[in-house]
Amino acid sequence: MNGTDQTVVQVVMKNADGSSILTQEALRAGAGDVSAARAEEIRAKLKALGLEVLEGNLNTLSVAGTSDQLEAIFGLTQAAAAIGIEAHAAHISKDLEPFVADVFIPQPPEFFR
Amino acid sequence: MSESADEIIASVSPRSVGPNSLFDESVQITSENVSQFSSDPSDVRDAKNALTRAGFTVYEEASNDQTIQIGGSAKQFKEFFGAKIKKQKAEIGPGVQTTFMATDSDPAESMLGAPEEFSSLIEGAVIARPPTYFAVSAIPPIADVHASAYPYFYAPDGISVMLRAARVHRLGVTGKGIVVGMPDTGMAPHPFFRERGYRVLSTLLGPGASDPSIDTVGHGTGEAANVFSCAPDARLRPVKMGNDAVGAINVALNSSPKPHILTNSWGWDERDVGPVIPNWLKPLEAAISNAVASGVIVCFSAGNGHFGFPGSHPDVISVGGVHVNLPDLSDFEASSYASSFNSTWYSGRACPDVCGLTGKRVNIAGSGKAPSIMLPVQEGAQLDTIAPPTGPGTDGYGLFSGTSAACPQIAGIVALMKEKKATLTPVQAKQKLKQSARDVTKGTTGNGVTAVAGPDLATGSGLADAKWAYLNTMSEVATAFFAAPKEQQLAMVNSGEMPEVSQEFVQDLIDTLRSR
Repeated sequence: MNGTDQTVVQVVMKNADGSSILTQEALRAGAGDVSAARAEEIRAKLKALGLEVLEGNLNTLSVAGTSDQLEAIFGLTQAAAAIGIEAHAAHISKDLEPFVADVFIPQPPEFFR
Repeated sequence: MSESADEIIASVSPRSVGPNSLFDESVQITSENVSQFSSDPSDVRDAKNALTRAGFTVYEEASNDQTIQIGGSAKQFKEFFGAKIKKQKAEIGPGVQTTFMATDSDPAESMLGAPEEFSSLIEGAVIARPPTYFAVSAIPPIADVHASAYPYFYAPDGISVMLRAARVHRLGVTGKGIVVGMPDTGMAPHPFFRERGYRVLSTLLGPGASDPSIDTVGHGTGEAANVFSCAPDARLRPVKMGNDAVGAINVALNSSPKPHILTNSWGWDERDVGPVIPNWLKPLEAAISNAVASGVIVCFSAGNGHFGFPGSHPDVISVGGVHVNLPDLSDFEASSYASSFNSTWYSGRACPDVCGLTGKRVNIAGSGKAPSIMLPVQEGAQLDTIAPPTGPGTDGYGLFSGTSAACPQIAGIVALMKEKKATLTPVQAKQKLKQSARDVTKGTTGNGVTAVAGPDLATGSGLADAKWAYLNTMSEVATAFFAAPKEQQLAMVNSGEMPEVSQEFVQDLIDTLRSR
């Protein structure tokens, strides 16, 4: 796969206390949300790394980057996604670690026709 | 290619090697006899030379063994063939006009003869007239019922009648002011929607998606028709999905106007993914939870034999499928194509909550199908050629259903409920749909669950009933009405918030009660 192809990933944001939607035992509305200000701070950090923030809410962001970028920043590999294995961050940089809980390459759903 | 817009093109036939002229109306030209209408190469050569000397352009690459294609002016055609040329207009497609120069279409005028000196060489000529381009129609075709299938519904009428939304429409309740968001495969500009005045907002792109008005699958375009069948005056916000379902939902929720309802005909099979919800689906779980918490009513298909997530999420309206044995509208059963299951991820979560229309499973062209609804699709889309066929070639329609169709039908019914009760919450919407549904007492689902009397795993509370759901919703408005002071009562009636109820509506209500 071309290293310059854009891939969309889901970035799970983390609160200052380390909580996120991934630390909730029973996920309910609002659980794991970060504040709007923190979300903006995280968006800025991702943009500063050359990633494009496409969409988001208060717990995850849809972020686009090349496979080279995603590999360098999060250790994501396209191969893992291509063969359907759950692909998530193998590493998160020290700078991002307080803000990002995990990163996933989303798998597409099936349309129930 | 014509060198100018005024150039007239004609087909010239040198004398045929067989006994009949190419223009002999008594002889049909088929692949079996076409060679008889070819011409001797020397005749072709001589004819071309004569035409060239007369000033015509001979289009070699457009010619074949039977005809020589030529171009020339009206004056040249008049001088050589004695043709009476006039300017004419034609509609070559819906709303598309063109002008062209030709003879009258009357056979006496259109059949051109060569000058006497060439009459034995050239048996005749005709001037080209523009064809009509068979664009996709707003009216679906009448397709034969496949031998392995069953009679099908047309959108919107069949769906609105069967789900009794038509009854609600007659009260003037049509989903006005309600926005339905639909993340799916795209939304093609199909005349089905335009000619019925349906309000489709601009399609937004989910992360990773492109070309919003192209729907090569046909799924999104087709399912949209189900929404409008129940809520013809709702506004639909399509979102074309890439791989990122969460992003698509966020796009819908972040758009303006914000949707009141989301309909989603997709998901994953819990059993294929794992024993518990995996981390990579947690973002979606969170997005749905937040949407519902913010008051958005979220509908999901339960699946077609899948243990469909997010259809299994406790906060959504999980939609299953019921098949109707047409033409008897009272003969319906759990669809053998639709899902019903106890979630493996959410303890105690039975799916579906309620059902829409889904055909039962039949085997056609080597795989299971549910061809119970004629739906519009992008011309040439995958679902335009799904078996069984709707006609010759691609016509912009497909016969399919699944819980993919059932879910937007329910979303449309919710839009009717929401129109008159703006404060309707997701919990109330689900409760009222379930309370008002028609019991399904037979049939076995795609997961092998058989329907019985009363609520069951096969169909949940049963087949949705838009009229009863609307009445159930209105009961609270009526309660508020009777508790209000006179001035407020008058205001509620004047504003339409408290509708007038016709005698026919009441009679139908009584008839329905007696039939249940």
